[in-house]
Amino acid sequence: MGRWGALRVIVAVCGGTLAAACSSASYEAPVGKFAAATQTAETSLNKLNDDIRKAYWDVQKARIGRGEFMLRQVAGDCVTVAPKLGDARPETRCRLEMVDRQGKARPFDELAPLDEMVELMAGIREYADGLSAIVQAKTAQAVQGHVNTALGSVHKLATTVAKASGAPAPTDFASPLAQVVNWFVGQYVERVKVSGLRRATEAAEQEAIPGAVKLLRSAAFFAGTGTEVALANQLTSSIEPLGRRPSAAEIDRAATAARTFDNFLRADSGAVFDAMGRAHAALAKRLAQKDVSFAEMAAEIERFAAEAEKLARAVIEIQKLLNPEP
Amino acid sequence: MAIGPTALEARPTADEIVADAAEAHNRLSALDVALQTRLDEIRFRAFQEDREFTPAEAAERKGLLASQGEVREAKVELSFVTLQRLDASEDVKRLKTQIARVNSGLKDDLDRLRRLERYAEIAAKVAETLVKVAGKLAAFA
Repeated sequence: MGRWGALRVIVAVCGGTLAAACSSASYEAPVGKFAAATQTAETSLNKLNDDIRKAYWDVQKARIGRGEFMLRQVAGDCVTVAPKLGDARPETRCRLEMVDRQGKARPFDELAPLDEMVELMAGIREYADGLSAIVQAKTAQAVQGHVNTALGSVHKLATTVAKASGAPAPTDFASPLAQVVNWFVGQYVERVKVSGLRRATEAAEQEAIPGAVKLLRSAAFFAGTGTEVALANQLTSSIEPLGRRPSAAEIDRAATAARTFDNFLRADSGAVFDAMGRAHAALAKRLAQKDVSFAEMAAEIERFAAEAEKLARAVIEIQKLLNPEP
Repeated sequence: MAIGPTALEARPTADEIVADAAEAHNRLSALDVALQTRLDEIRFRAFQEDREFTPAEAAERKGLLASQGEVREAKVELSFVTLQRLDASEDVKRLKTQIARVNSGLKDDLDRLRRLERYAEIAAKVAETLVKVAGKLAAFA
């Protein structure tokens, strides 16, 4: 066996060992699923945030409508202030507020209550996308392609130089050398990817995810109150007017209202964030090679994806029921 | 000037905000259940006797339903304000900073991988150019 032949064997053996030990490719599917489920959870949180905004807006309008509050413009608002020559126009607004009989005023606007937490969830989704981008990066393949091209060119160069100087053509050093270089490149890229994933998940697990899960769980519960109240009102309005001999259509309406409310309660809008926390903890532990098997980690991510889908479906179903298309 | 403990303790933590809100929410839920129980009692009595509601029952039910509506409105309001308070808590700001730091590290790793691709691409181009130059030089020789 020649020099290059021996190198080929070493490359084949080491390459195989590396792939078995710490291949990031095996994380591609579960991390991709984690990222997709995180995005679904983010969408549901945003919808719940919008639902509570609408519910609160309706409550404020009803209170003004019942004469419990008076609507007025904020003092000093809704006029322009002329700037001095050369100055920018001073900022002016036109806002409304509602005031009770004691004169206590509160803003009357359609703003959603969650802003910072929506950004926090967006940050977590960005994080999940980042993990996915790292495992999916085809750096090794791209670099290896360039290395093959470069070494092929170098071999051509050596051949050209040899030919010009009348020397014999050089032996094919490019192919075996490319294998060696590519093995090192592959190993380096794998190290960057796996250590990057490990470092990120460890830091997120220590600093951000468990705390965020607790907060998002509570936020999802309270944001779900708008939907809860709308469904409770719908149930009440379908049950309470029932006469002594209700029609089949009235009974169907009550049954549908109860079923939808039941689905909402069983979907547990906060559970998806618990599932996200457990899936992330399993991923971080697996990457750190701590007492979680690959299968256990993948199963936790599957459970998270299922919870995220369940909540997304419940949110869509509820929105259809509460806002039926004309 | 020393900062008094009241100034530091004035801002509630997320745990405190949620604990207060949960207690108030549960009180409102209990009230909703009590109102519903009374509504059901009136309906059941009329059902047992197979009759319409008496004017007094109808009036009581109207009042009960209005109260139930107000309780539910209070729940929405409580949730909205709780969410606003949670959103403004230090806990959220801290978590946002922490996740941003982790994301920055991930971005660095991705950049490292992309840089590697770029360097390899440049090396390949340089080698190709050298071959072309050498070819031309050889033609002159």
